[in-house]
Amino acid sequence: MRLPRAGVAERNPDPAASMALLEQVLDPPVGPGYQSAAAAREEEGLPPSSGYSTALMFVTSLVLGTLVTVSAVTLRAPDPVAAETRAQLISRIEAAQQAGDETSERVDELRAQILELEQAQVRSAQGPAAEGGIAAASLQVGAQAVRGPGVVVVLQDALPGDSGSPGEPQNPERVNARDIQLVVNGLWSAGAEAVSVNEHRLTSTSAIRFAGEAIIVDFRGLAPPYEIRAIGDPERLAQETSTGMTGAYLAEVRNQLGIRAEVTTQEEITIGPAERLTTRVGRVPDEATGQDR
Amino acid sequence: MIPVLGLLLGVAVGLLVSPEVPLWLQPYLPIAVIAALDAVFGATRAALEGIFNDRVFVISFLSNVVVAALIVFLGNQLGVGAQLSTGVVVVLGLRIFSNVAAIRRHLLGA
Repeated sequence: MRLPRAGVAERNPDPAASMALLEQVLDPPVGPGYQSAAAAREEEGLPPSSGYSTALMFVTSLVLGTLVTVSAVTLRAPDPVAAETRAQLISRIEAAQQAGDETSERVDELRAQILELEQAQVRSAQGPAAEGGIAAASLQVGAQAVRGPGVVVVLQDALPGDSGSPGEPQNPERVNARDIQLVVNGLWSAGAEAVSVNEHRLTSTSAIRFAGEAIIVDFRGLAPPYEIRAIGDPERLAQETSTGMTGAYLAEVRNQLGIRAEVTTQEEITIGPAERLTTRVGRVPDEATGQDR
Repeated sequence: MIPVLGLLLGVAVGLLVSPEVPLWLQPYLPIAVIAALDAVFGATRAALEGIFNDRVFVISFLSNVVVAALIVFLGNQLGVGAQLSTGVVVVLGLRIFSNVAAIRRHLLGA
């Protein structure tokens, strides 16, 4: 059985027919409704235009004006409310920051007083020789600001490369807590007397940790760039960060992962005192109370 | 004159009464405004060509608003409300621009 042959389609005589849609989009005729309405009115012997001053036009323009105004008012309204809340939040943040600044000033004052009192007490109890011991100990635990020569290591996340197709999410390599731990440990081992990471002085109880994406030093989140300052013998520190273990590690992350690491030796660095200086005293609990709990 | 009067009165009513628009209606407001604008520009062009008709204007105004709102409503029910809103805005925007071009030709001859 043979299927009947389909007829050959006739060619459209108008070569521009395929452009009709495009033409209609670019230059559409005025709404066909207006054309036919005008034609109908002309047939009845009326002028083609109905004029604008009719009750229908009044009602329509009333509705139009109300619609536009209500829309504008409704969709704009949330902004002033949000702005007010924002201003309130900003003022609260500023007040809290000022209170924090004042408190930290007071902490500094009290610390200086404590040091003086300690020294006075030691002097009266054990003589002037022991006075220096207190200062040395406070340097060791990070209770005092330190100034001296040293090195500054600045670590930054890798720049987003131009490899990969555009629009694809890029995940440049990031500095992680391990990098900072390694650098800090290298500096300690090279005889650093005081080390700080982004202004946080590291003490014997400090921790550098990783929580999700953020690096946390002493329970405070840090933001890049990570600046590690170390005070100590500048020659030894410079050697450790250039040709020593730390230097080799930095060169590797720089070359392999694109992490930007910079080491500079400086004549004078100031490292402030540590923020958290609490002494914890362990004690064997009483037998009686121990059993109660 | 009368349409301008009505428009001003409508703006005044909107500002003075400022009715609370229910939350479910709010996504349709921008679409409705753009649909209304399309009808207005079409009417302006027809007026310049001398074939303006109030009944056609009212019907195109109402049907534009209703159809645009309906499309967005349908999109919301189907989970593609944002895409359909964009589609409506693009189509109406195209029409507004081409009508404005025609108006410009009438007024400025360019």
